[in-house]
Amino acid sequence: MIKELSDYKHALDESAIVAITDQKGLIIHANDNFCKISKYTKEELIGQDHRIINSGFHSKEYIREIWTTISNGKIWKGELKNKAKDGTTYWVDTTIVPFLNDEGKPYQYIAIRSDITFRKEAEENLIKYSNALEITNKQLIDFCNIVSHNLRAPLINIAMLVDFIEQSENEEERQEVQVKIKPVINHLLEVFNELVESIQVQQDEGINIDEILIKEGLKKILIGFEAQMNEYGAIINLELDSVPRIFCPQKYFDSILSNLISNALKYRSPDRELLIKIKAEQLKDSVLLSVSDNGLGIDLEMHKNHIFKIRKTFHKHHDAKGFGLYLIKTQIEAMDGKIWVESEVNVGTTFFVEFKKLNI
Amino acid sequence: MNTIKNMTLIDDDDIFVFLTKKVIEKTNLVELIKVFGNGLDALNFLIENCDDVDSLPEIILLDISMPIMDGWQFLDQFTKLAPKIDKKITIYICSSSISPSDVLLAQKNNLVSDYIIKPVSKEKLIELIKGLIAAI
Repeated sequence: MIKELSDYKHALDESAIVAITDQKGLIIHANDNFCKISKYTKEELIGQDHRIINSGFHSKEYIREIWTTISNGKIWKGELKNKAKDGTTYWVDTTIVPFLNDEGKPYQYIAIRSDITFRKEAEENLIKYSNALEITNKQLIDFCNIVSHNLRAPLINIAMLVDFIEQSENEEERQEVQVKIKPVINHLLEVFNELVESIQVQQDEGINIDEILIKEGLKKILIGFEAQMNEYGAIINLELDSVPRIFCPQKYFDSILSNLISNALKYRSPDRELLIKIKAEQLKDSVLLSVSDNGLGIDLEMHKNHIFKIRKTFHKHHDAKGFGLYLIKTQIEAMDGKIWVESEVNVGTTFFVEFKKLNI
Repeated sequence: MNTIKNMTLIDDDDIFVFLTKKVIEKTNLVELIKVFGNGLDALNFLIENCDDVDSLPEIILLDISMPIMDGWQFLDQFTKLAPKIDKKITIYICSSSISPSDVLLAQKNNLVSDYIIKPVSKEKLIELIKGLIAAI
């Protein structure tokens, strides 16, 4: 009988991570597997509070529920993330069995665990990949919509024009309609090029991340708008001192700022002098850049779902194409960042861009 | 009645508008064609003239993708206006979108008689107008 018991113990020690604690949670026994995974020696573990391997990952409620279960003499089973001596963490599938005295009260607990770190890491990766896949899939649906809406329209125009010419018996009328084909073809080319450009962004994954001195970078961009700014008497106000630099592909930085500044100039109010404010703020693990103007504003009530969609425009402006915001949103999302807008009609618009900290 | 007094095109597609006008004018089936380049301009006209039955259209060809106010947004607003209008206005959506979700949305909308995918042939246009004249 005793031999059988010691065989059981041997088998358990071989297969599992075993720890025994007293009723307060002080470790009174640790087997070799426990030492191996926790990277503590037996001497370091014995007499210590079991919380020594607490990783802080689980909520207080979760831990409390374990204690409530086992102190009531019940068995607890679940998955736990623990911390080893060197600070690394590992996952264990855990069963805690209370040993009960004659009165049915637990006098010690045995925790039998197996290492499931690999499985948990695989699960985490799976979730990460599935999120990335979801984004790609959304972009693909977007892309299909763009093709179905924006490429089909000019093609149909051409088809209708050609049909009309074929059916018309009047030479003068044929001439009149014929000249309308070329602008449509140019438009088709333009939409096509935009599409290619936006696909480029989605494939830009390996693009280089540059260290950009915000003020310098911005000054260079502003030179391109100098003539326009002088013409409209626009005033630019920069608040960049708290964040000197940002890590972002130069190409995207230029594109994002150029588009936002160009929009502020394009949709200025005729009633007041244009004031553009560009501000950078350091957040916990990102940089928030904002571009505000006191221009026409956008009716967000009406357009909130369309602001960043391709070929959506919100003002009567001959130069409005509805591509800029779509493109920069694609670029910002490629960097894991975010863009959003606040606006009030006839008061002004602020675009916010959050740049996540990127590793070079 | 053998003609339609007012027809309205709400469409920013200049080529479509140009050709549709040309085809319809030749048929002499429609007395007046009004064109609005976006939903908002059309809506404002309808609001201003909602008591003036004669200037309201019998038929609207409505595009979906337009600047400022698109076709769906126009329909949302028009739903609120419709009870105040004492005239039957037949709305056809006329779009180059072949997206099934657009077709489904149109089918669900009581104000929309049908969803016509561009291109619209001359014959189809004439058939549409003649059908409406017969119904009036």
